[in-house]
Amino acid sequence: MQTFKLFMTLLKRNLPSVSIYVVIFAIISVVITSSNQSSSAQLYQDEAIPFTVIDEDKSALSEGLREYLAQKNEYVEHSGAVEELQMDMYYRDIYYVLIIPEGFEEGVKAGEEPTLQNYKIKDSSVGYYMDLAVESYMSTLRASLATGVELSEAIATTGEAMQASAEVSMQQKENTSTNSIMQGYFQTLPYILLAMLMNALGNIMISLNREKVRLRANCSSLSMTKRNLQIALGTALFGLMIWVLFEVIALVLYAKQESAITFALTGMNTLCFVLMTVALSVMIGFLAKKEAVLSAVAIIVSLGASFLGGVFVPLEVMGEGIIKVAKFLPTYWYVTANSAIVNVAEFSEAGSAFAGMGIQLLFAAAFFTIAMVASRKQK
Amino acid sequence: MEGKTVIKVENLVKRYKELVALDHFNLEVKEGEVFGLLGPNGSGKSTTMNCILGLLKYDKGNIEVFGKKMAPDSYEVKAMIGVVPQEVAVFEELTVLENVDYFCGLYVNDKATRKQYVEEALEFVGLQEFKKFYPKKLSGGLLRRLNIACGIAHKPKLIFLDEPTVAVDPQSRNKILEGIEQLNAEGATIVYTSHYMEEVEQICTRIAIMDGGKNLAIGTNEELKNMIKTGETIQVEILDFPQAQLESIRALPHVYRAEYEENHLKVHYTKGQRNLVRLLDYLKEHDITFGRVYSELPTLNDVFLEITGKELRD
Repeated sequence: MQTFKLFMTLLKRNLPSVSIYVVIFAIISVVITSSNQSSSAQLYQDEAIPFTVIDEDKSALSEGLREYLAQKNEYVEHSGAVEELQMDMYYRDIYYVLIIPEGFEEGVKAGEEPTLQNYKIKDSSVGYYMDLAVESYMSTLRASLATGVELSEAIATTGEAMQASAEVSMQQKENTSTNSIMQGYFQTLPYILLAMLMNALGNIMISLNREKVRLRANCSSLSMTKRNLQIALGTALFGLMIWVLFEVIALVLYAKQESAITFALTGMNTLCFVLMTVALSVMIGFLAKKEAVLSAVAIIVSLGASFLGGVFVPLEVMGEGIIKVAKFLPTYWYVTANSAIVNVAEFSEAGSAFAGMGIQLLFAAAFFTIAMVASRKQK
Repeated sequence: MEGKTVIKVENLVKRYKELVALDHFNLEVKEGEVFGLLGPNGSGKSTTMNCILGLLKYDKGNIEVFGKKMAPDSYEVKAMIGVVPQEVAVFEELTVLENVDYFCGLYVNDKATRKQYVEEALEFVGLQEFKKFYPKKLSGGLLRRLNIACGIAHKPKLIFLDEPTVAVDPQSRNKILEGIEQLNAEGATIVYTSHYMEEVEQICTRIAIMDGGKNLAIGTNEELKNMIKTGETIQVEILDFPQAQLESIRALPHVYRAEYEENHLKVHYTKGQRNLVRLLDYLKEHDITFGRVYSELPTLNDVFLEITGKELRD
C-alpha cells in the first residue's frame, strides 16, 4: 500500500486548502440557517404605522375615518402645532399626518369630493400605503351612500366592511422555510465540491504523474495496475470523507426539521455527485501537466458547470437553449434530482431523483474511463 | 571475463521515426562488473538503458536480464534492479526521508526492513542530517545524492546509474564515485553511463564506447587503449623551430605524426620504448633550444577520436 500511503501524505499536504473551502462553506451555511430560523416565525405581518389626524371638521365621518385608520395603525395624539409635527416627522415618531378640513362631512353629504390634505415622508411606501387606506375607506363610503342610505348608516357599514381583512397564508407547508434552506445548502454544494476536489485531487494527481517520478516508479517491481488501484482507493476514500463531512454538517444544521427519507435521498444524490467529481478530478489530473493549468481548468469547470447547471441560478429562469446545454452537465442532473427530492415522501416516489443520480454515475464512469485511457497512454 | 551474465543485449534496434537510436546494438555485462557506457550526448546510452529497463519498446533484438527475457511486466527481475535516472526524480512535496521510504517501499514491503534500508541508504549518501528537508532546500549535489539514495535503498543486485554526476560540485562528485565503488564492493553489478571519460576510466572495470547507436568497442581501459595506434604523445616547448627538421623527426622510430604549432612541437608515437630520450637527444644534437616537456599517455578520448574521427565532447 505504498502508493496509497503516498497519496495520503500528499493529501495531508493539501489539507489546508481543503479546510478553507469546508470552513467557509460551513460558516456561510450556519449564518444563513440561523438568520432564516429567526425570521421564519414572522414571515408575514401587518405593519402598524404611527400617524395622527388634524381634525378640523369634528364630524362623525372624520371620526369614523380616524377610527378606521387606527384599527391597523398606531394613532398618535397630537396638538397639531406645525413645528412639533415637523419635529415628530423628522424623528420618525409620526410617519403620516391626515388633515380633515372643516366642512368635509357636509361636502360628502352633498355628493362632492372634498380634498383631504396630508403630510408624509417623501417617496415612502408607508405614505403610499396610508393614502391607499384613506382612498379605500372613502370609496367604500361613497359606494354605500350611493345605495341611498343615510350618512350615519353608511359610516357604520363602511366601518364594518373595512374591518374584514384578507386571510394571508403561505403556499408552502409548515416547515418549508427550513426545507428550502437545506435545499439551498445542497444546491450550492456542487460548486464547493467541484472547486475543492478538483484542486486537491488534481494537485495530487499531477504530483503522482510527474513524468520523472512516474518513470522511476515504472522501473519498480510494483505494477502500474496496483499503483493505479491504490490511487483509486485513495481518491475514493477522500471523496467519501468529504461526503461524510458535508452530511454531518447538514445533519447538525437541519436534522430536527427534516425527514429521514429526505436526508437519505439528498445524501445519495450528493454521494453520486462526489463520485462524479472524484472521477472528473482524476481525469483532469491525468490530462493537465501543470498546476497553473489545473487551477485554470478547476475555476472554469466549477464556475461554468455551476452557473449553467442551475447551482447558482434557478433552472426555471433559464432559457430553453441553456437548458439543452445544461443537460450535458452533471450539475444539471444533481440539481434536478435535488429539486425532485423536496416533494418525495416515500422512496417509491423518487423515480426522477434516482434517474438524476444514475446519470451522474454515468458521467463518473465516463470520466474514470477517460482517466484510465490517459494513464495507459502515458505508459 | 568470468562470472555469470547479468545483462545480455543482442542486435537491439530502436527507431524514433526516421532516426535510428540503436543500430544492432550488442552488450554483455557480467556479475560484479562496473560497466561503463561511454559516448557523447545522443549516442544512445539512455535509450539502451531505457530499453533494458522495459521503459521503451524496441523494434528488434533481444534483452535478457538475470537470464530472463526483459519485458515491462518482468516484476521479478525489476525487484533486483535499482535505477538512478539522469534527472533528479523525487517528489518535491515529500521530505528526504519520505522520498527514500516511498521508492524503497515500491520494492520492500516489510516495514522494519524498509526502515533499516532507508536509514542505511541515507547514511550511505550522507544525508542523515537532511532527513526532514524538502528537496527544494537541498543543493544540486545533495539532490543528486538523494536521487541515488532513492535508487539504491532496496539493495538491488544490478544498479543503473545514468550520468549521476552531471552538474555536481567536485566534493559531491567524489562522494558519489566512492559510493559507486563501495556498492560494487558490496556485490552490486553497476551499469554506469557518462560522457565524462575521466569518471569512466576511474571506476569502470569494462567500458563500451558508443556512437550513433552503435557499440564501437568494448574492453577494459587498457584493452581499449591498446586497440589504438597511439602509445604516447610528447609535447616540447620550442620558441624557434626550423620547419625543415620536422621531416627528420617524423623519421624517428615509432613516430607516426609530428606537427609544430604555437611554439609547441607535438610528436605522436605508436607503442615503443625510449621515445622521450630519443627525441630529446635529437634536439640537443641539432642545437635546438627547448623549454618544458610534456608526456601524455593515451586517454579514452584518444580511443574515441581514433575510432570515430571526432572528439568525445564534440
